[in-house]
Amino acid sequence: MAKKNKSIAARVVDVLGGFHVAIASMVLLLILTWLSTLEQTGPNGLYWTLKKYFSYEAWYVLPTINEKTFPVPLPGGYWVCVVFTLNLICGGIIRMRKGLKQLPIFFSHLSMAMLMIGGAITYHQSREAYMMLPVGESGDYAFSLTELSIEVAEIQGADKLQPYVIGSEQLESVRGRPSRTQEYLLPELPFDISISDYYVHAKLYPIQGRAPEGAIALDGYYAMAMEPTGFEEQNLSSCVLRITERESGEQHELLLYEGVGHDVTATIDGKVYGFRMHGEVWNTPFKVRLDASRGEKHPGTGMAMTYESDVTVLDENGNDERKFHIEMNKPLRYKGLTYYQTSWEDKGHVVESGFTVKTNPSDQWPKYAIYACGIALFVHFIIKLFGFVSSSIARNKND
Amino acid sequence: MTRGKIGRWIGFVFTLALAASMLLYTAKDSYISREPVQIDGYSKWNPELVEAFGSMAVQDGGRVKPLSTWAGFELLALNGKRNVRFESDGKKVKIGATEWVLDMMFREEFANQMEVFQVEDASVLDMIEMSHEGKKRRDRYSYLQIGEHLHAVDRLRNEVAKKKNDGQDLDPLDEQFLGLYTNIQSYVAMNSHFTPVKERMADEKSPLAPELQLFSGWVEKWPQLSQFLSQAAQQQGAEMDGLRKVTSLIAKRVGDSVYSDIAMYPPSDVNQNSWPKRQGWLSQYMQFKATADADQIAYLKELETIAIAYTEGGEDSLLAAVNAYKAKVDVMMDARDGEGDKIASEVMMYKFDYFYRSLTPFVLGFLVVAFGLISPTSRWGRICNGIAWGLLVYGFVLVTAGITHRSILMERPPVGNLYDTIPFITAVTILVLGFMEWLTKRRVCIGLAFFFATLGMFLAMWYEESKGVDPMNPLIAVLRSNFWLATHVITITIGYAGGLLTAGISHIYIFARVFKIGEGDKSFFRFLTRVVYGGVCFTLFFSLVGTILGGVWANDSWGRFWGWDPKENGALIIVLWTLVILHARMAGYIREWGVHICSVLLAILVTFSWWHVNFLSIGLHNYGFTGGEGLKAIWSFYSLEALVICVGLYCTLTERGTKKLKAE
Repeated sequence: MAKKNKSIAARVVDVLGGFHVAIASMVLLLILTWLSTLEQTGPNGLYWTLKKYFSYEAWYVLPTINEKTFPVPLPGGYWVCVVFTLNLICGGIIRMRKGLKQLPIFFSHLSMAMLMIGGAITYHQSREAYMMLPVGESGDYAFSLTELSIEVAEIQGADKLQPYVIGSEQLESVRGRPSRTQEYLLPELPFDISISDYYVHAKLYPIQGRAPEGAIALDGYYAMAMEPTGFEEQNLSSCVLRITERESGEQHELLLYEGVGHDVTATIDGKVYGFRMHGEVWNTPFKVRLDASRGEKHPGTGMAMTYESDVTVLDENGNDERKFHIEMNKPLRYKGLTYYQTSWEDKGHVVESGFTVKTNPSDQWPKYAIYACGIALFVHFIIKLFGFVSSSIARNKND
Repeated sequence: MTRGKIGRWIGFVFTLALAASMLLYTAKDSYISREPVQIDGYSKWNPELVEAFGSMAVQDGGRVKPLSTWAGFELLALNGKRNVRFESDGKKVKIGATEWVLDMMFREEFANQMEVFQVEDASVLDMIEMSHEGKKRRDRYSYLQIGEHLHAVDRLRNEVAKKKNDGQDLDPLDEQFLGLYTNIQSYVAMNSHFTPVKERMADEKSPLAPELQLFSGWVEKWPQLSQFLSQAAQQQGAEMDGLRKVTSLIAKRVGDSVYSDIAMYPPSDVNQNSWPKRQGWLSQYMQFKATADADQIAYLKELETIAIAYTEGGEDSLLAAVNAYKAKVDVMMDARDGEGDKIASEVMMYKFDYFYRSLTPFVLGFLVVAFGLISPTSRWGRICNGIAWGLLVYGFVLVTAGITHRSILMERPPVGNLYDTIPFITAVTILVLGFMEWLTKRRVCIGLAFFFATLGMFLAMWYEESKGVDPMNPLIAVLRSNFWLATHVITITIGYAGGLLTAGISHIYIFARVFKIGEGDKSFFRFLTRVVYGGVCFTLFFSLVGTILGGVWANDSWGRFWGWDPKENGALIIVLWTLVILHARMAGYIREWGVHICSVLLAILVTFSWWHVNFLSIGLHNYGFTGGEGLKAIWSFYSLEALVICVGLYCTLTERGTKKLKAE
């Protein structure tokens, strides 16, 4: 019988859905997971290791073990996941033989594909920030612990006008590349700025005598680069900001440091402008008030036993809209945002709760995926087990 | 003799060698071959007193527990064993942890001679300028020997602390020194617990008011008495010399009091969770740097009653005082929402020592199966099989009872930390392999069940000894969820058990093929492959469900489904590898040999996930971190498994070559 000619699409599905692709991508994922587990114990820490292994910019990875880089390029984890998901869809869903017997496996493939797609949505669409609230206070913004922004705003007396924000994505080209300079045009303001000497982790020192060679000294301080810690939220960045007045061409230089809790100012055209480098601010769609916060430690130890908070979501007019209770393992999910109790501190005069605020469109996908996959695999393996048990019993009887 | 029989004998000898090496490996950690230290004049404590003293309540590690439990872990941390051996008046003496604490608190002249400080590397002693001539590299020392070098210990402690503060890495010797330093601190804390109140300030015949004959009386009235003493210090006269002596006596007792940090007496306020610890309070209070604390004074008075009872009346008086004290504390604990209501049950659990006791049936069962394998189809073989089943059930009951008892005491599901996983995995392995054996009746699974059970119980003992930390202490806030502990942690742990027992069966396959056991019986090998296939499916199901459940839990706790935490990654690696095995088998890329070789590799991956990641000291699963002492064992295991894989690969390649030749 003549072989039916397959379309190119069908051939692509065949190739992508093949066992060899499935096995190769799973083995690669295993190796990448193992290597990234080992590498995150090194100086790069988790944040940078993940960027290296699983970010979509990473087409290939050169693994580092014991601080030695091995010249064996491996495909980037993100892209292996993409191939694996395509393989699941093509091989495990489209091409798979359909029948009652195959139904559990079909569903387990479907749920795994859903899990992988959910993971991709989380990777691209989720956002995470941190909110610290003292009891009795309310807040409608959170700030990122890892993504930095630079705020530029005019200061009038004690007030700060609407700031102009250079976000983390715009800073990406200079971040951690001190030799690079990036110019930013600010058409609404009478000056433009450029940023250089951006150190991911730096320490600020007052100048005593002379600043060390290579360090840029400004306003009595200089910043020195330090080895970034593995915990990105512990790194305190610094950069040099050059202001060029558009009309006169006059230049001003400022040293910005993440650890400084106030604006650094410059006077341009008789107006005072504040510049600040800090965690990117995320304005939340609703306001939350912390009504009560409780924390308990295991008796006689410093080990946390419980952290919990009573909060009220406020409406646009500041009136009480709904009350919630948040504790470890029991977050608040409301209007697409999730608030997790992350920390608790009794400072004596004030008690504070720290919340991780997150938005993730695929937040609950893993839960549904595990329900589907768990049931499907259970049915499949129980059928297999029954087959094994009955054949074993029959064999024993015959023996 | 046929090749099959020779193979069986080789298998038998191999099994015996394996059992012996397991026993020796475990014994080597707690055994130091040397003449025991001589402590003449020692008499053992009255057992009734030991029992009463051991069941006193102590608040430690975030929970109220019997003193015997606390003492056991203190001794384990110092000594690496729960007992102390020495020789007294020509007789060998062995005392338990509670007796040791009694000696520490009331007869330090004996306690200080006992060699309880286990030092792993004598180079640590060079660092504190202490001679260790005549001792081994790894040996034990007494406080009498170490106590002479406390100045050097303090100096070195400051040096190491500076090194740490400067961000420098500590070398293994520094780490060992810090361990020794902590042990010295714990020792002194116990040793000085009763020190300030062991004796009266003046005997009963003295003209002092009865309450001032006791140290606690002076503490209670210190604000008034201190004024009187300071005025007296400025006056001359013989009677004033007596008062000056009192002042210096008080100063000495206060100075000796600061090390105690044992919480044994509940506070009067039922809403206050933490029991008072003396620590620096007495010293601060006597210098007017801390306010009077009624709970601390009450605690001091109780300790004084107990201490003076022994000093003046010996063991019988001490027993009476301990019982009276316990009755009082019981009433107080009842008022505190039944705090300490599980003390009796915990004492019973340690007395029964389920896991240790289960070793006897497991080791015996392993040997019985080995003897039975010499002639499996004979009557002898059937008798051995019957005995083995009895021993397996008995051992399983003991392990399960131990897990259940612990779970009831902890008021949480059975697995919450690394130690908990060991007996649980052992129990699951016995259950699954027992079920397999019942189905298949090949005596392979039952032998393997005994092997795993013995290994598991030895591992539990080794872990407890090496850590010296009570594994029943409560969990951190994020882990306090009985729902998630009962689902995610249990399923993941069952997945580990599945992976290990599957790999165990593959080992049997490879050894049987190498030693030509059951060569004529093709169904035997097919049976092993089917069991391994089932085992891989079992491992996949529990690891996958457990891993994703863990992600769902993490999503509720930390706001992310996947954090690339080493423990999570380890579980994912197991899932991926089991999927690779199943898909490769389905696609025909691997057959019998391939499945078994891949399954042995699964054991390496399970070990990485279950144990190795705990040595990485990073990640959020910080209930499982452990020191580096076990890393060598893990690498030895990897090497052994790599060897088995190589043997398997060699055999499969040879077999393929032979088949090719035959075909040609």
